[in-house]
Amino acid sequence: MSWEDARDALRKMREDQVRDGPRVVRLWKQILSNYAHKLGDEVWTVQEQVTIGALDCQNLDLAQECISCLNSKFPGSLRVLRLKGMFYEAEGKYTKANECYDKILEEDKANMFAAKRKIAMSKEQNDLPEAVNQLNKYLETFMTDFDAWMELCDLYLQHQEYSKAAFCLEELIMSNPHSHLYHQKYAEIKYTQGGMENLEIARAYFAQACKLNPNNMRAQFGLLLTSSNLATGYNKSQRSVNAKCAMWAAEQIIDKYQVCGSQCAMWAAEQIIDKYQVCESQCAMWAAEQIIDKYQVCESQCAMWAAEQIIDKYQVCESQCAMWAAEQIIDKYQVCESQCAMWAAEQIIDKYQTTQSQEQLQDTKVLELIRKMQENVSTQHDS
Amino acid sequence: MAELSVSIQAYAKLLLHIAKYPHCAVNGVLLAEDNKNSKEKKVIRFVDCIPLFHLSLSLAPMLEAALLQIDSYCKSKGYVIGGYYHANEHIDDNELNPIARHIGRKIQENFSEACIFMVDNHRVNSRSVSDVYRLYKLSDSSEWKEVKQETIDDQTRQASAVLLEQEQYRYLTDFDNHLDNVAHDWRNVKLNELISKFS
Repeated sequence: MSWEDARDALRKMREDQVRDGPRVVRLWKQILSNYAHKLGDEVWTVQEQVTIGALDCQNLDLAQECISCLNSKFPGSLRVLRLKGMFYEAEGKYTKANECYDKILEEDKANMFAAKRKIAMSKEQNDLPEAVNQLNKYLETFMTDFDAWMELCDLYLQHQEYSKAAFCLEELIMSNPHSHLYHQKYAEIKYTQGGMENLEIARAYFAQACKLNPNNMRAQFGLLLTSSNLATGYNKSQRSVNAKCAMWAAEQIIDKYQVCGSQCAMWAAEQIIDKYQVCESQCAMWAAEQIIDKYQVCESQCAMWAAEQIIDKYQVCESQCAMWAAEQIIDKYQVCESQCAMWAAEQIIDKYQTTQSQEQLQDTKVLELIRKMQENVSTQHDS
Repeated sequence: MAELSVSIQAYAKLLLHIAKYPHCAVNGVLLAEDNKNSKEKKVIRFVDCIPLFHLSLSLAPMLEAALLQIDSYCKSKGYVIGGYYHANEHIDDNELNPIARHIGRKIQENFSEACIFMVDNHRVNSRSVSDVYRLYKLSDSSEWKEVKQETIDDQTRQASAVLLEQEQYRYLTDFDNHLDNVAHDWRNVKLNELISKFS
């Protein structure tokens, strides 16, 4: 790896706020430290990054080296003093660390970094209630610090105080109404709290998150789960609305999964068909059609399985629907493999025979199917 | 009392998942062979491990979505979700977590011999000589009691230590990684192949 690649890698880690101490230390020690003179002014930011990385892997010698370098370049700097405080924290010398942060706050009352390090120390000493108190106090002054609100939310979640966690997220959504991540996390908390009302709120927020970012998989899954749960517990009109939501969500999921594992797609499809049995067989039909369409592209075996499910479910409700569904299937299958079409036709005729009496066999539709099947057999023989 | 054994694939992936996120709490499930139908109920073999989350472990929807997918994966392979592992965020916090108890109970409803594998954070290194977790089983009085049992052999321990030193955890995908990018496979098929070379 060249020094430019190492420098770019460190830049990316700073931008994405990735926490990977060992990698940072490796990039510095093995490559970049020999080219420090080529970095220009960036070398100081890099040194800071390496200090924190080294502290993360308890490489205190390297951290001390970097801090000394930074100190000689920027004597009396509060930013370097914060790093010294973090060094004491890593050594477990919390009193000395506290002194450093107090000194920073004396000189600069509004220094957010020092205030947050003090809260972090409570976390380090495994004193979560104290951390929560301090964080609440901090947020009274710095109420636009979104990271702090998120941290408070996570602390509440650790203690399973869901309503307080939800409150934090409400603050975040108010200040950032276009962030799909906040909507999605709020919905997750509401879902966890449970109950019909919370599920409805959850569904609304998952839907909004999907709208803001259609690639948010958590929001898609959340929408599928909430709609499915709501679909089973309601009056008919609510059920079909929820069924449609579940459908849309599942479609999105299947789309994403087509690229990778058809097994996940299969699971998603199963969910859809199950949920639909409850509401309307016509919805189930449409859903199943969509699934088969998608599956045609990947594996006909999945399509076969999907078709099996459909025919099974339909036996229960209306054999006429079953017929129509099966017809659709065979149509689709004629495009891919006539073997599937034959199998599908066989299934239909089997089921039909068990439901309807012999006279019904004269029904033109069944005859049509038998004819199609025979056609397929002959085309197979010809080719 | 049934004997428990954990395969190298399960143990290695568990260890790698914990090592990948040293600054977060992590959890996951272990899959056991489904021997409902076999006469031999004396040995429970945990054959695989599916790492789940490292963000927001206490939220339900993604856990449900994950367990549904894992369930259908299990059915296709003849496994059952038999165990749950959990590592707390703080290095000194090795107590049985309420979330672990809750999920453990849910798993126990489907699999009577379910165990919680509560990780001892101090043992997560390549020089450790004991299992990285403590085992807990649900007793008759509905309390989780610790079970002292050796579940892995030396070969597993050594192989896992090597994988840890090689930083193979960079190639491990948990369910959170999968939700961030659906192309990442939570079954970790490639890593499984690598691990199988050690056994």
